[in-house]
Amino acid sequence: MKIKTMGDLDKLREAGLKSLAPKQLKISISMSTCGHALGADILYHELVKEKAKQGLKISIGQTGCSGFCNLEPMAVLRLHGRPPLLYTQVTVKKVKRIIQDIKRKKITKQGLLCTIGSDSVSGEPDPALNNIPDYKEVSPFKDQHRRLLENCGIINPLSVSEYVAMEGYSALYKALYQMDPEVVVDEVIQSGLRGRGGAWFPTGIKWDMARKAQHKEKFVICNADEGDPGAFKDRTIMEGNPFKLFEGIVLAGYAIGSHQGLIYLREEYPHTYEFLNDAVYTAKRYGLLGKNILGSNFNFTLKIIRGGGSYVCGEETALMDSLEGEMGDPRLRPPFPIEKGLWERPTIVNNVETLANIPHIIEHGGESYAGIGTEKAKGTKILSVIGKIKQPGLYEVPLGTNLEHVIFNMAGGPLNGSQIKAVQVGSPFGNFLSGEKLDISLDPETLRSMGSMIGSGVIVVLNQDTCLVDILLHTLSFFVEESCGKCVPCREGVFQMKEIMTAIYEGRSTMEDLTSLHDIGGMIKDFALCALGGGAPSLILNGIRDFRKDFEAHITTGKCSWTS
Amino acid sequence: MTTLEIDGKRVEAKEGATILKTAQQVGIQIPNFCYHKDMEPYGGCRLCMVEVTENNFTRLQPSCAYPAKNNIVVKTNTERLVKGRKLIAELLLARCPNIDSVINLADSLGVKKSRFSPTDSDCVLCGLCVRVCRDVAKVRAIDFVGRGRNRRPATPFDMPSEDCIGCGSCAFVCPTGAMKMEYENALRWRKLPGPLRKCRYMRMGFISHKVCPNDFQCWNCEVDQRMEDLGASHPVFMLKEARAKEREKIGGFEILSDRLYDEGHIWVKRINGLARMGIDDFTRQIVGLVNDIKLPPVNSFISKGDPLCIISGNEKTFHLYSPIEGKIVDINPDIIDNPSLVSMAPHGRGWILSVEPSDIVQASKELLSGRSAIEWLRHESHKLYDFIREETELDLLPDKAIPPDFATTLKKDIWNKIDKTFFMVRQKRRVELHSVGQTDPGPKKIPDSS
Amino acid sequence: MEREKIKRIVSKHRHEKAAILAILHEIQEEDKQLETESLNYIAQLLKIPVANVYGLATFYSAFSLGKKGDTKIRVCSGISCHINGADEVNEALKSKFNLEMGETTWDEKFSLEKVHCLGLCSIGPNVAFNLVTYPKLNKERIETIIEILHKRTGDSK
Ligand SMILES: Cc1cc2nc3c(=O)[nH]c(=O)nc-3n(C[C@H](O)[C@H](O)[C@H](O)COP(=O)(O)O)c2cc1C
Ligand code: SF4
Ligand code: FES
Repeated sequence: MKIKTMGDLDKLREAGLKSLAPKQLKISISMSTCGHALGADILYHELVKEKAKQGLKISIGQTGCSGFCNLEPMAVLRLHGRPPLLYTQVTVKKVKRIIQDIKRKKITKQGLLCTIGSDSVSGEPDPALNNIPDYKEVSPFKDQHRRLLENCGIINPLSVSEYVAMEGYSALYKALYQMDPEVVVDEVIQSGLRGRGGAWFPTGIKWDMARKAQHKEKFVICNADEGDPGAFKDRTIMEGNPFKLFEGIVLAGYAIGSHQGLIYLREEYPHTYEFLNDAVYTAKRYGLLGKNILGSNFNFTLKIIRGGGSYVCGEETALMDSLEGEMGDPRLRPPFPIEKGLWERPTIVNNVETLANIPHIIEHGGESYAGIGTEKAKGTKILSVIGKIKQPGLYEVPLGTNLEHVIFNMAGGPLNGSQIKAVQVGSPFGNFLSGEKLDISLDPETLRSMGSMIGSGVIVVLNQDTCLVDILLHTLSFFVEESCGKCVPCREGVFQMKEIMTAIYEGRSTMEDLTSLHDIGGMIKDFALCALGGGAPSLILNGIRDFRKDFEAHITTGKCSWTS
Repeated sequence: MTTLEIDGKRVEAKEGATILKTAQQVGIQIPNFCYHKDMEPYGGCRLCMVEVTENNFTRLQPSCAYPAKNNIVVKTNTERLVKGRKLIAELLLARCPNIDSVINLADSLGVKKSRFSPTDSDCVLCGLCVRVCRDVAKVRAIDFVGRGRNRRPATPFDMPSEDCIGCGSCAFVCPTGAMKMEYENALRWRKLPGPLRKCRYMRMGFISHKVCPNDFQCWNCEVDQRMEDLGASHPVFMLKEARAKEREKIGGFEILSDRLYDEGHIWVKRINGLARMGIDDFTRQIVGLVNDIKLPPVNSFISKGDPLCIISGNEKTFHLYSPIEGKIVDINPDIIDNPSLVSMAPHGRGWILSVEPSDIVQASKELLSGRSAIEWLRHESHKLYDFIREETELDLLPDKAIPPDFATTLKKDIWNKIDKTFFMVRQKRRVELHSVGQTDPGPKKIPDSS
Repeated sequence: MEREKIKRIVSKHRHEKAAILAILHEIQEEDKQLETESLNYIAQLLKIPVANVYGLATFYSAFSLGKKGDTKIRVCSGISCHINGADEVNEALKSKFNLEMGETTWDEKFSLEKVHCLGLCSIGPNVAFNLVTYPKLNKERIETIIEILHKRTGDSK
C-alpha cells in the first residue's frame, strides 16, 4: 500500500496504535545485533514453538536495541488496558514463567524493570503495578531526554505503522506539502543543529550552501561508518528506528534539491546491512522512498553501500573516494564537498544522529528544538558511556549536562565501587581527564576550551587499576593501523610516536623521549592532511602532562604498580 | 586580478594559480617533494606547508594545492614552519637513510641526522610514479598497494604488468630511484616475437606504427633521440595535449574530453564565444546512416528545449533538442548537401549548427564534462542495453558496436520509447522543422501537448 | 571462482565501477579469498586496470588475497573490550588454534583477525565467529566455545 494522502497516514496511524496496544497479550523481543549476541533469536524461536505447542493466544513481535546491551535480551509485554511492561535479561525459562503467571492473572515481578509510559493508559490503575516505577524514573532511563532514541526498543523497527503512530512521517508530510525547501533549511538553521559526526559543523549552513550550489544532480550521503571504537549510537538508531533516519535523509534531499541518497555503512555491521535493506524495501512499498513520496511529486532513491573496513573512510572526502570505487584517501580542500563532492557533484555528508534529529526539528520547529542545550550547542546528544562502569550504554541527554552527573547518577558510577582514574570524552581523539576533575559541562565549547573535544560522544571510564601508558599505546596503535598512508606526518610521524611509546611501555626509554614526543606531536597537529593524523598527538601530549606518574613509572621501572 | 601578500611582498597571481606557483614566480622558494609542475597536486609530503591568513584566521595550508586567493596573507618561513619541516625531513630520513635525494633535502633544511628509529626503504611514497602513470600516461599499470605503513607502489600481484606501455615516466619522475619498471619491461619485451615488439612511442600513442629494430635499447635509437629533443622533460608530458583530443570509449560509445555533453545526446563546444553543437556517438550508432535532416532557420532564436534538429535514417526519425538558449548564427553548409556526414563524423565535420548563447557560463555549468560526462554516458549505455534486453529479441553487449541497421529492426512502439527515453528528455515544446534546402516559412508554433 | 559466477555478480551490479566494493564483498564472502584470476577477470569485465582492483583488495581490511577460514574469527580490540580483558581472550584464541592474527589454519576451517570495534561495547570482550558474536568472554568461556566448535566441525589444531 502506498501512502498518498493525509487520510492514508491517519489510517496507518490507527493501525499502528492498535498494534502498540493490542487486545491480546503481545510479547516483543529485542532482536538487534546485541540481542542476537545474547540469544534473542533462540528465545524468539522457542517462544514461537511454545505458542504452537500450547495453542497460546498471544502474538509475538520484535523491537530494536534500546542502547543498553547488557540488559538484553529485553522483552516488552503488552497487555490490554495496562501500560507496556519492560523485562530485562529475559531467558526462555523466564518467558515461560511470565506466560504462566499471566494465565493465572498475575504479573511476574522478577526481571521486570519498569512500565513504559504509565500515564498513557486511561482508566483504573492496576494495583498489581503499584510498586513498579515508570521508565522515566528508573535507572538507566531516568534523567535522559530521549528524543532520538524515544522509539528505540519500544516499537517494531520494521513497522511503518508503529512509527507513524509515534508521530513518524508527519514532519515529511508537512515539509512536502506546506514548506518550500528554503523554509526547511531555515528551520534547520534556526534550530542551531550541529553535526554529530565529530566536527560539529552547523548543519543548516552546510545545507544552505548545498542548496544554492547550481547543479541538477546532488547527493545526500549519510555517514554510518561509525568507526570510533566505543561508539554504537548510529547502530542503535538504525536498528531501533530506521524510518526516522530515512525520514531525515529524505528531508535533507528535499531541502537541498537532491534525489539520491546513500548510506555508507561500516563493514563490521553485517546484521545492520541486512536489516537496513529490509527497511528500504518496506519504505519503498509504502511509497516513502522512490517515486512520488507520500503522493507528492518529490522523488528520492536511497541505497545502502557497505564499506570495506577502514576507519579513514569515515572522513567525508575519503568516504566519497570509497563510494567511487577508489582507495579511501582523504582529498585536498578546496574544492569542498558542497561544491564538488561525489562524482564532482554538490554533496552533503551527515552523520546518522544528525539526520535523525531533522524530523523533530521540522515537526516542532527550529525554535522549539533549540529550547534545550547550551548557548552554542542545541538539542540532545547521545553519549555512549563505556569502560569500567556499572551500567554502560547510550545516554541521550541535553547538551551541557554535567559529566559527573552522567557518570555517577545515571550510569551508576565506576564498577565495583572502585575509584575513577580517568575519563576520556570524545574517544578516540579526546583527552583523558583526571578523575578528580569531572565537574564539567558536556558541550563542544567547554571541551574545546580544555584542549579536548566531545567528538561523537564516546565516554570511556577508566578506574584505578588501568595504566594510562597502556591505554594510550593501544589508541596510538589504532591510529597507525588505520592511517591511509597518504601524508608523511601521519604515516611516519604517528608511527614513530608509537615506537617511542612502545619503548616507554617496555621500559627501554629515557625522559628525553618525552621531549621527542612533544616535538613531533606538535608538528603532526599542524601538518597532517586530515583529522586522523591531526587529532592523534593531542591526547598523548595531554596524557604525559596529566598522568606523568604513569609515564615516570614505566620509564624508570618498566611497569607500573597499579596494573594487575 | 588576484593580489596577495607573500612574505611581505604584494604579488599578482594568475587566474587559478596555486600559492606555490605564484611564489616561484617572484623567486620565493618553498620546499616540496611530492609536487610536480605538470601534474595535479597531491599534498602528501606536507613540506610545502605555509601559513595562510584569511578572514583573520591563520591556518597551515599546502601551498602546492592551495589557490592564491585575493587579499590573503601568506608566510612561508615562520618558526613553526621551519621547525615542522625539519621534523618531516627527520622522518623521511628515518624512512630512507640511504637515499641521496632525501639526504640532500634534509641537508638543505639543516637536518644531518634523524633521532627516530630507521627503516631501510628506498621509496618515500611521494606518489609521483603512480600519478604519472594514472593521470598523465593514462595507463595505471602501477598503483598503490596496501594501506598506511604497508603502502607501496607496485604492479598488480608484483608481476610484470600487461597494461604497461613502457614509457618509463614512472622511473623518470621517481626522486629516489626506487622505480625500475622501465628496465624490467625492456627485458620482457625482448622475449616477444617480431611483430609484437612495438616501439614504446607507439604504445604511448606518438607514432602510428613502429616495430623496434633495436632490441629495445632505446639509447641507440634515433626515434628516442628525436623525442627527447622535442620536450624538455619526459615525452609523456607532451601527451597531455594529444590526449585532450583523444577519443575514449565508454560503454561502447565514444566521448571527447574537450566537449560538453547534454543529456539529450548533444555535444557542445565553445568556439570564440559561440557554442557549436552536434550529435554524439550514442545517437550516431543508433541512427545508423543519416539520410535527411531538418533544421531551424539561421538567425532564429532557439530556447532551451526547442528542437535543434530532426534527423532520419534507417526509416526512423530522431528528435533532438537544444540544451542552450541563443541565436542561431551558423548552420554547417556541408551537411545540407550531404546529411550522411552527420553520421560519418558526428564529433567533427558533421557538426550541425552554431549558436550565439545568451549566457555561455551558466549554460556550460549545466552541461556535463569530464568525469561527470563519462559517468553519465556509462549510465546511458547501461540503460540502453537493459532496454534492448528487456524489450527486444536482440542480444547485444556493450563491447560490440551496435549493428548499422539496428534502427530498421525495431518496431514502431519500441522505437518511440527509445526516442522518448533517450533523446526527447529536453523537450519543452513542439516546433515544426523543415528539411534543409526547402524554402523556409519560419517556425510555426504548435500548442504544447506532451 | 568460476568465471560464470563472477560475470553474473558483475552484471548484477550493471558493470558499474562504483559498485566494485560490493562486487569484491560478494566474491570474498563466497570464495573466502580474492584470487589473482578473479581480480583479473573483474578488471576485464569492468574495463578498468587491474592495478586499480588490486589496490582496493589490499587497501580495505575486509578483503584478503590469501584464503580465509570457513569460520572467520574476529576479535574485537576496541577500547572497551581492551580494558575489559580482550588480551586474555586473544591469547587464548591464538594458543588454541596455534595461529597469529591474520592467519588461517592449515585445513582452512578457521582464520583469526582483529577488528577495531564490533559496536557491542557494553557486553565485551566480544569475538565474532562469522555472523555470530559471543559476548562477555574470558579465558574459560572462550575455551569452552572453541571446544564446542571443534566438536562440531571436526578437529583442527
Ligand atoms: C578519521 C575520521 C573518521 C571519521 N569517522 C566518522 C564516522 O565514523 N562517522 C561520522 O559520522 N563521521 C565521521 N567523521 C567525520 C566526517 O568527516 C564528517 O565530518 C561528518 O560525517 C559530517 O557529518 P555531520 O556534520 O553530521 O557531523 C570522521 C572524520 C575523520 C577525520
Ligand atoms: S592524516 Fe593519516 S589518514 Fe589522514 S590523510 Fe594523512 S596519512 Fe591519511
Ligand atoms: S609538495 Fe605540497 S604536499 Fe608535497
